[in-house]
Order: sequence, then structure tokens, then C-alpha cells
Amino acid sequence: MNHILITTALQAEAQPLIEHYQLEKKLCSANIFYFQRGVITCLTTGVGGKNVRKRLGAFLKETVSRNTILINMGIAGGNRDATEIGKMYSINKITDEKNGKVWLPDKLLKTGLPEMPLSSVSKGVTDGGNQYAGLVDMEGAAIFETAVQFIPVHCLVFLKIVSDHMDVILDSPEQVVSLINKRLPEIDGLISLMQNSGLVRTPLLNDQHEHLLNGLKKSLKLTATQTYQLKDKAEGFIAVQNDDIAFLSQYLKVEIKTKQERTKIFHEICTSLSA
Amino acid sequence: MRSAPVYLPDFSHIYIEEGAEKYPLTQDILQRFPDAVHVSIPDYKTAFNRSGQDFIQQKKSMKLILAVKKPPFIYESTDILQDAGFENFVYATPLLNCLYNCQYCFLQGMYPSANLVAFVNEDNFFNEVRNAISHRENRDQPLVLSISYNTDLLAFENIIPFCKHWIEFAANQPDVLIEIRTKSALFNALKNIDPNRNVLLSWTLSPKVVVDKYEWDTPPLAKRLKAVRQALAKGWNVRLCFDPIMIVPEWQKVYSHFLDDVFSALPADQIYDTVVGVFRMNKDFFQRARKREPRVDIYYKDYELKDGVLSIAKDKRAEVKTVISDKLGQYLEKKKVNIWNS
Repeated sequence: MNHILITTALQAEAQPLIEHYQLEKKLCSANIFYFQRGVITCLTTGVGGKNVRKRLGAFLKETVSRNTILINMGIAGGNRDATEIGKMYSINKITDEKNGKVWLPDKLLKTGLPEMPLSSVSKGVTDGGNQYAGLVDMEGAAIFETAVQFIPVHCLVFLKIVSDHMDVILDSPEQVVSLINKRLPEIDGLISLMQNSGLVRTPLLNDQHEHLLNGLKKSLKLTATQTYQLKDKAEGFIAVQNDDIAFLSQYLKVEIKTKQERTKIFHEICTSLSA
Repeated sequence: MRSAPVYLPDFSHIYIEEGAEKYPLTQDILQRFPDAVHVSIPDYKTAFNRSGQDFIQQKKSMKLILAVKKPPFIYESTDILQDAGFENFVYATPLLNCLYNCQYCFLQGMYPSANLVAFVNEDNFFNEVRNAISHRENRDQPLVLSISYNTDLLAFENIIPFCKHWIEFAANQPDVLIEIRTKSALFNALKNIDPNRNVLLSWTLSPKVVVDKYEWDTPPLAKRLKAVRQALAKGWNVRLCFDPIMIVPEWQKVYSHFLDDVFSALPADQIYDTVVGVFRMNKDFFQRARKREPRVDIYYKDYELKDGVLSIAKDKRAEVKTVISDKLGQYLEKKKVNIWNS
């Protein structure tokens, strides 16, 4: 099952999710609090790009795994003519207003959600925001820019619930909690879809294989080139023969005293993987 | 290999580069996909060249990017392309990437994205080709232009009628021979177009075992043969491409039976010519392709590296040449058999 990392800017956006999934408070070594149970994690990044870069970057550096799917969730201002307050939208384009950079999340799965472009601004918009065709927030661009360094594009998902039409600043946590709560069934369905989708593929070499190859590298004192060749052969063996390489564990106990011995054993292994 | 039900259909989203929207072809394409979500982008590379893309995942739900090509519009031939003895050999890229998913194809490792880019400024391509015809080096030969090098253009014909437009263009040009190479069975898309001698329709044909194992998402051999028969019956010049010959178990036998089948289904005397090649791929593309899809056995064979291109060993290439030439010689004149020799 894929690991879902939900990021929100506000604690009020995270609270309904923490309660719904009964997430427990934890602290990572970068001294950042987050909430987690099983394969669902929730991190509050704080408001604005600066907070996001600092907190999300440090958090991902420490915790990201091969099967992490990041869902950025939160409220956003919406264009009066194009959006509906309380409705949830999937984001298909993020423009960083500060530098004009455009970020494009991949749209691969059927979510059933309407889509909108998102503009990330540095100050809240309260003048009606007619210049913005879709939605406006303050973190989306920074989240994409930071997360894509750790997570593939197709595993970055942005969901926004319209809180206002850019005419007021919504600062009541109760209102935010209420907006999220109303969308929980949809959010739950999406998380389930993401968890069980084939978005993350199983690697050819699993953790056991990697462990075994590392063990062989150490016990046989393989050179860097031999280590690379061994991995190459092992991948080929699994891909072509559709078989396991567990039989190589017999070589973990072999004692190598000379380079000649190492070369001999290495060739023996390569031959067995070529068979 | 195609999309699972949870995946959006291909071309659920169309990304439109700023400036591309004004071209008639763009409007034509958008009308063909009334339900597609349109996303405007400043430059096609914003979508196509993003870092962190997953080629394999994107293949499950490919998107279309409409863009305006900037010069150059045509490129000099590469060593990997087969010139079939022609000297003025160039290629153009009206479309980047392919609907199909052939595991031996260099497209598996060439681009950072599996999405397709269609260039909508066709007139710029046509003008540049006219220019290249006038300036071609060998005046005794036509300009030979491959337009289906980085894609399978005919497979895309029901989405964008690029082939029709290029064929109409070629009909009015002296001294040009346009090759449209395909694995498609979509000859019907061209059935209302008069054949002309400036166009060569080239079908890549492979034995069933190769189609099943490596040519993912392509039409089966029988359908391709039917398309070839239709094209010949209409009077088109048709080239057959046996490229790459894959070294599958008992490949000599497999290809011998296969070629017998091909020429029992097709009138050999009507075939314009044939080209034969073996697996070959730029080393960098090969490494990227293997990283993307490490489960394919192609990436674990022993190859020789020459000038940055990986291919099967020289003695094996020679064997392929001998075996396939001899077999084709049973059906075709020697001059109609072109072997890739690099």
C-alpha cells in the first residue's frame, strides 16, 4: 500500500484529517512535529512559501520513501465566476506569481473532481481577484518546487477547497475545519484511490535483494566495478529468469583472502546469474 | 499494458503552448476532443521537459501537448536511420513520441516524458522542406524525408491528419520522396487520398512472438498485412521494414517462417523495397530506458558499443544479414533488399 503524506498550511486544515484518521503526534529528528498512523502522515507546513521550503524540505529529506504520494490539501480563494464556495478542486497547473514559474502536476487517475489552475501569491487577495482565472493560495508553488526534488511528479496531488471569492480573509479556524469536514468523504475516497493505485511500482530489486547484494559486496570485498556488475547481473537474472537470487546467500560466508580468490568467486557468481 | 480503469483516458488533458492556439490545426484538434481539459502553458518544454516524470506511468494515460516548432524544421540523418542508399536523407519531427510502446525503440529512453508533442505550424515545415529540396546536394536523387522517425505518424492519423497533409504537400513537389514508417493498421485513414509516387508507405513487420513480447500496444501482424494489401491495391509504393530483427530463441526458424507467411500474404513483385536492421540504440537512451523498465530482457543481452550506439555483436549482425538476405532473396530481387550496415 502506498504511503500518503498530506500537507496543509494551517493546523485547522489538518485537524479534521488528524481526527478522522486518528493520527498520533510525532516528532522527527529535524525537530518538526507531524501526525501519523500506519501509512497516513499529516504535516502542517505553516503559511507561505518560506515556511514550506524550510519545513517540508527538512521533513522530506528525513522521511520520504519510495512509495510516498504527497497530497497538498487546504483552502483557497476562488474566482467568483468559475468556482463555488465549499467545493473541492483538483489542481492541474500552479503558477508562482512571484517569478512566473509554472508547475504541472500529472493528471493520471480518475478522481471525478473538477479541475482548476492555481496561482500561488505572497499576500492574501481580498480585492475580488478578477485577474485570477482559477484558485489562489500561498503555498502550492513552493510545495511543488520543494517536493519534486524528492517525489516524482505523478505522485504530487493538489486539492483545494474554495473558502472565499477573494473578497475576505478567512481567519476563523472553525470555518476552516467545517469546510474540510464537509469534504471528508471525498477526501477519504481519494486517499483510498491513491493508496491502492498502481502509481508506485515495485522495484525490480526489493529490500531483501538490496540487503543481500550489500552483504556480498562486504563479505567478498568487491570493487566498485564488481559491485555495479553484480547488481546488473542480479537485475538481469530476476528480469529474464523471473527467479529469485536468494541462492547467492551461500557466498556470504565465503572468506576471501586474496584478489585471485575474489575474482574466482565473482566469476562463479556471474556465471550462475547468467545461466 | 494499456490504461487500467482507474487511469484517465489518453488525451484527457491537452496542454496548449502560448501562441499555438491561433493555428487552424490546433482548433481542429481541440474540436476532436471536446471533453479534454485545456491547460495553457508558456512553452511546450514546461510540460514535456519537467524533471521527475515517470515515463511508464505516463504511458498509461498519455497527454497531448500542442506547440509551435521553432527552427530547425528538418534534421540531417543519423547513423541509426536507414537511408536505403539515398544520399539526400533528412528527417522532420511533426510529432514527438508515439502511441505505441515498443520496448526496443529508442523512444523508450530518448525523451523525459511519455506525453506526445504535436507541432501545429505545418507551413513552416513545408517551407523548410521546399528549401531543402532546392539545396539538396545530389541533384540526381530526390530529397528523402522521413516524417515518422520520432513517432508513428499513421497511428495518429485519426487524431491529427498529419499524413494526409504531408501527402498532399508531397504531391505538388518535384524531387521529394517522403517516407512514412508505421506499424499501424490504419490504412483506412488514407483510403480517400490518391496515391502518389513521392510518398513511400513503410510498414514494419515482425513475427508474432516479437510483436507479443516487445511491440506493446501495436496492431497484430495480420492487421498490418491487411493494411499493406490495401495500400498496394490502391497503388501506393510500399516498403517493408524488417527492423529490428530480434534475436529470439530459434530466430532463424522464426524469421524464416514469418517471411514465408508475409510473402504468401503479399504480392512480392509489388513491393517497392525492403529494409532490414538489427536492434541498436544510443547508449544513453538504452541506460535511461532500462532504468525506466528494468523488467525487459532486451536490457540484459551482450552488446557491442560503437560510436555511442549499442548493437548486437558483429558476427551476429553478419549472420542476420546472411540469413535474412538469403530468405528475402527467395522472393525479391537483390536490389530491393537494403541491410542496415553500421
